[in-house]
Amino acid sequence: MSTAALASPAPSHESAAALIAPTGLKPGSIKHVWLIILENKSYDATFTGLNDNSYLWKDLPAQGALLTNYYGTGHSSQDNYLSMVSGQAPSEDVQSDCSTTNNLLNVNSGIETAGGSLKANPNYGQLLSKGGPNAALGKNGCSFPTNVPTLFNQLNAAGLTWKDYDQDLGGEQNYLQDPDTAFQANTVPGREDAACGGPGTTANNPNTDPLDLATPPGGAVTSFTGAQSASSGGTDYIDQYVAKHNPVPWFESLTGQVNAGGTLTPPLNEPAKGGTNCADVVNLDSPASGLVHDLEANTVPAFSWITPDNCSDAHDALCKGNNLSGAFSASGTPNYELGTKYAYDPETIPPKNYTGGLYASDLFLEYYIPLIEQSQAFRDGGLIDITFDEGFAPFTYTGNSFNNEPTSGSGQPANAPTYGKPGTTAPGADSIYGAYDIQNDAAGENLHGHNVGYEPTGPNSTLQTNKAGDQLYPGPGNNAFIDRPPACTSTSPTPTPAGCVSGIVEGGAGSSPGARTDTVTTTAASNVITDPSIVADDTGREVTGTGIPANSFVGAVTDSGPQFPTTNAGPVTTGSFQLVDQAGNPVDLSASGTQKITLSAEGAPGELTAGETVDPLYDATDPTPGGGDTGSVLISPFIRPGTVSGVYYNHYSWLETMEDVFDVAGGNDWAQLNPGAGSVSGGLDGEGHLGYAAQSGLRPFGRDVFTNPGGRY
Amino acid sequence: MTSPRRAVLSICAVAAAVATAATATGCGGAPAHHAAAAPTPTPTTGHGLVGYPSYLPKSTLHYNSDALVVGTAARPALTSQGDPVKVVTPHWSVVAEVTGPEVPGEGLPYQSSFTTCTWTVTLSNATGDVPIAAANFDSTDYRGDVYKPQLVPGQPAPPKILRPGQTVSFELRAGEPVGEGLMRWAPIDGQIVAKWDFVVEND
Repeated sequence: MSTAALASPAPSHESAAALIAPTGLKPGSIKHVWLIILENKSYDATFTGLNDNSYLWKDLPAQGALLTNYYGTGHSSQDNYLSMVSGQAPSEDVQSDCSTTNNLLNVNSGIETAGGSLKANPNYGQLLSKGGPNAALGKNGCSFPTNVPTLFNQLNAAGLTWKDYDQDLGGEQNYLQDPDTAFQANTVPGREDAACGGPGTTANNPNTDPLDLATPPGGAVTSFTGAQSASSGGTDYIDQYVAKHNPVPWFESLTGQVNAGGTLTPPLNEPAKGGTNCADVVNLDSPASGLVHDLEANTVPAFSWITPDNCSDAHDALCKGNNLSGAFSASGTPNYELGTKYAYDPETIPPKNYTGGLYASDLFLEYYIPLIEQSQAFRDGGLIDITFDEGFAPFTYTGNSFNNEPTSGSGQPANAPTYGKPGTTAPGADSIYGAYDIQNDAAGENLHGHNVGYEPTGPNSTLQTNKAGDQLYPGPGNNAFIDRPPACTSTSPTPTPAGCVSGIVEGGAGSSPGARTDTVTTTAASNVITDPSIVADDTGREVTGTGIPANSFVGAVTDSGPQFPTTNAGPVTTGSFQLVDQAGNPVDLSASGTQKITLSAEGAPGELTAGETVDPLYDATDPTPGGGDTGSVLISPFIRPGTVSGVYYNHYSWLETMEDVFDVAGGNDWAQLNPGAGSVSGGLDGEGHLGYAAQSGLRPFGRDVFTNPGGRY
Repeated sequence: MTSPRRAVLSICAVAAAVATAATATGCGGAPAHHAAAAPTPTPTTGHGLVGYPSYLPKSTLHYNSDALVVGTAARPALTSQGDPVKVVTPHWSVVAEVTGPEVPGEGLPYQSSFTTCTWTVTLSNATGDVPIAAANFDSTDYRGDVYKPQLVPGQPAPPKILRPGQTVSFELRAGEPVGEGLMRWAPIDGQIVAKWDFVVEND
């Protein structure tokens, strides 16, 4: 904790700059930012028409700017949220969404200070994992100590207000309960009662009472890391908030630190207007302090972080609770229930279906974006920013894409990727699977005017190859969408198992799948088999079963959706595949009915055992340096409608942009963090940039984005 | 000219006027599971929701932005400058629109806190004889002070009566402070039938 008195801004800071380079904006132009963070969709899942999510795909980009090369900085999820607000790089426990014990990644003395600058030390300012580089899950920690500052601390020091609006914080406003009940503040006790919406009870904290997120206690709390539906016992504990998607509670610079004996070391700073940081973490729909309340009352803070719940953020394909589908008229107009005590509380209306994914995120955006756009605050220097944390390959699993191929009339370009067509089953990075899987682990940013396909890894999830060129470590991308060789259990006399890599750290890598049995429906004289479990990367697997001719294989896979189940039991997609012979010719079946088939196990090229087919996702040599291209949409009077930019940006670029437009370097906290690196207001570089937002030459959003810098029409 | 703004209320007011079933429009209708919801929408109390900025492409806005708001003496219409209002009285109806204000000196280095404001009033589609008089218009500023706009000197005066089939436009002028304001029209017995929200901007 810094003990020095707050110092004045460093003499080099030009608080009276004519323009904020390279945005082209006058200082103070942007007065209100709303950041809405969605989940797990690649650019081609969201912005090509693949899923017909027309509001985010077409309408919103037409109102502002579409960034076609905006990259997440890691896999999976939580590390992106933390990187966005702190510039800290990923580490394995948060790359696994803290599905382990929430203790500290390290104490303040673990902040790298050697070299004194990023130029001298590429890890300067980063918090080193107490488990060392590439430590296994559970050996790192999820939370940051008090001397790791965040954008929120910077805003505090600059006298600027902020709020963290979280949908379902404290529990969902449940239409199944008494409809005349007033807004319910905390219906799921013990799930997110730790400081600032942190997981667990009020007693849990990373320092003296860390929570094991992998072991929920039951009763009201059935999951800390996923949405939960109604539990048994007649009492509803629907809660689609997940703490991993809220960055605030993971920084003791915001929550403070509970010490032995229960005393609280204060956070790095608190809001200049008074109160605590945690008081500005609120339920999105709170009638007293939520988003719409603040829009109506014109008390909008300078920076609004908005985390939709695990349904409305497109994470869950099938929602466990309300997806807001009931809050719209037949013509698609939002029902704001004006004049009732339920006004602007959409979860009090029963949903019509439980479809999630990009369908649910469109509903969320169609409900709240119009209200933001109609606010005085939006006219007064507003900026709406809709971003995804990371890109997931648009195969139809875990809700990442309803469709794997363009639907008729979607308008998707003819050369748009289609996942699961025959002839594209070659393994490795050159295959359509490999290429797109690797793309979903890609990195990108713009340095010194040049788009580059990398980002700093940081000290905790590094990249390295062995002499054979095999990747040893998962890196920021955590091997998320590929299958890696197994680790060797022994190396003498021969490496065991075959094809293993000595010293490999798998991270999030999958293994080549074993055989799988699916229940399918066949039709006589047809070569199409209906299979609800089939996904695009099953193409090429051998198929065996009653009435299935020998040497038959999975051909083209078609997954389509969404469907609209009226319960939270699904399904939301349908699946089928064409049965083909070894030459790719369709194979007609002779019988109709429901039966079980077996799909062959897969293996690494050159290491196949009898009966195995090639794993199209197998890749030993390509790195996974980032979080994939997600795309991003920004809307503002300072952006000409229909702007498109292909400049490479990522979460570090975003942080730098926020720090610049809010001129956090004009804040009053330049005291050197000790132990630590830099200062709250000065950042690491004296220009107000934290962590890897302080990379030399890193380009924030420029005039390619802010295409109407005068803000007038 | 300032960007036109629209009160959120106008969405539901339109929907209530044109809908055949209140619940189908989704505005103020009583959801089946709730008890005794209000039959018509209540205006929002804050001043933070002022309507869409005009530069956003209307085809991307998910509500009917071109439908008319209806105003009567019992329920005066509240909308944004630039939006037409169908005024309905016991004897006639007319479509009335107020745009503006235009201000001189917008964007110049020196900005006064007061400026000359000029609005354009357009009346059309009359179904009877509609009285026209500058005295039937007034405006209020953000502090609640009331101003009486006058016809712009040197311009031809509008007719005293607008008859069916005619369209008339004329300009009104007043000196008002920078900030929010409200133009009001009371064509019969001082009863306000329509109000247009505006912002005086000169920076």
